[in-house]
Amino acid sequence: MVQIKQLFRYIRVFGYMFLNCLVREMQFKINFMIRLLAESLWLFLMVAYFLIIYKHVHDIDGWTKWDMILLLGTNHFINQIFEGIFFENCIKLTDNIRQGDLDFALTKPMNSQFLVSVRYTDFASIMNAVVGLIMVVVALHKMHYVPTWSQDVMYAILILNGILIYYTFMFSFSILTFWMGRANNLFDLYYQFSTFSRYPANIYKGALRFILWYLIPMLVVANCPVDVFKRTLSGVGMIYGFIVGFLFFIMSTFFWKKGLAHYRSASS
Amino acid sequence: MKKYWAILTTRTQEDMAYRANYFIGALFRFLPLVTSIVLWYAVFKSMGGTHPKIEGMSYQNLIAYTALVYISRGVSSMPGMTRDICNDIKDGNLNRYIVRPINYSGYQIVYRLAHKLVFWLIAAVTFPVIFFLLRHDFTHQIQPEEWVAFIIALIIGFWIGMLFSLTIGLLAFWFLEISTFLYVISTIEYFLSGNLIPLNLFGPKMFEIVGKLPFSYEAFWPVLILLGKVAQHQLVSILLWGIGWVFFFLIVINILWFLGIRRYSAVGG
Repeated sequence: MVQIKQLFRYIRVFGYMFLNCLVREMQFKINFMIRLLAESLWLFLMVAYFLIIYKHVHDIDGWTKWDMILLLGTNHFINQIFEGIFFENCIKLTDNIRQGDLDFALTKPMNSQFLVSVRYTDFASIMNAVVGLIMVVVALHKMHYVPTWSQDVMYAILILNGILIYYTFMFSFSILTFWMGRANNLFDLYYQFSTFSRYPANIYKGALRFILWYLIPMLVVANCPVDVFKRTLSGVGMIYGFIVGFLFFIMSTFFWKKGLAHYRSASS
Repeated sequence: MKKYWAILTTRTQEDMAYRANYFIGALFRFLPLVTSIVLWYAVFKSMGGTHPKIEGMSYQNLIAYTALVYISRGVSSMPGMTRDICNDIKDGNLNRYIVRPINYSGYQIVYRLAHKLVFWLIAAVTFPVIFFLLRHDFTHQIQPEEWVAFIIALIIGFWIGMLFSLTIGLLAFWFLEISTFLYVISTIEYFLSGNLIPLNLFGPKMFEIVGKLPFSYEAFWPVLILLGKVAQHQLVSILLWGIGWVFFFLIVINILWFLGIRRYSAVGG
């Protein structure tokens, strides 16, 4: 009972922070609308990129045009949800660590990792995630594919795993600031990583595939959920997908505790 | 001339102060090349046939293209230039330059040249490694006139990249908050210059248009010339068209500056 009460408390606090950000965002409505469009632009260009390639080829290693749109949409959805909830916080976290401004989170009667990870929400990204979802629905429709509800649930869980993988990477990069003093450059890696995850897993061969599957599991992020719909995901693959997201999350809490031991406050 | 030399040397030193940062960036930069190679390999394998080609480009051509595009982008891209100009205008920093005996556009050009110098000092180490690894994909024996045309096209690309950024930057005289607009413009510029995919793959009809735009000189044309995909009799007309764009932007910038400086409110003092 106590745990459930706790859970509701966290959800309520998240709700307040969420609303707080929404109010701030809505003070600049025009800017918000323009950003909304701008954020989708890169996705449209990626779609154009693949449409150009598919003008010359029927499928890429078994992936048809709509398979690819399905993957792009899924990857976009994962990226945007991650960016909307966590990315800005990860960047702010590096500044707060460096300047010793973490006290605001450490002194509150809540989990500090939770507070620093979800304080600010970027609504343009959250709204943009919808664009990715629309692409997924359109692609499934074009493929005349009607997923069962169990597939939907599996897809949703694996998407959550993908978000946790991104979260752990970026959060860990922020935490490196505890030791390095400055780790901003590592954030560029996020964009490089997401390049890997938006291509079909089977085009990667050999060592590269091993790295992207087990060490930097970018192929688990978007490929696993899509494979649920394509019916190409094996039982082992699915279990691995579940475990890896969960393991990564545990790792992030471990790093956070290790890092905090190196924290020097400057704000009290 | 001496004053511009002073700008060049101080700016170069400034950049070299952050050389670790530069090196990390220089290494990460090539990661997308890996995905491109992997993707094109899969595309060509799926096409079947003995020597499949897409719009006259073989697999080797496309890999070479993707690698060589790093050179033309390294010459023509002006990261942060429009943003700096906008901020100078918006915050009134332009005052500093107006009261000095130098030309603001001239200052910007020399400043960027310094950036390029540092970039190429580091690229002189990283690029040969990449090209050596991909040496089997450079199948074309480059002719002397192609070398000359390549160099000229690169210079055109540099000027178009520079002058286009300057043009967009000067729009800040009229519109104060344009950071999102800048993002949109630079993303479209990136795509239409052929950084992501060669412009001739867009299909003949689209290529007719995008191949004529100024952006095509920032990445596409220099590389295509080096791949030997431009017929000899076309070289001159393509280069002349590019030079035409350079003059077009020079005129536009002068008009924008002439009109803009009259609107400039010199905030801050």
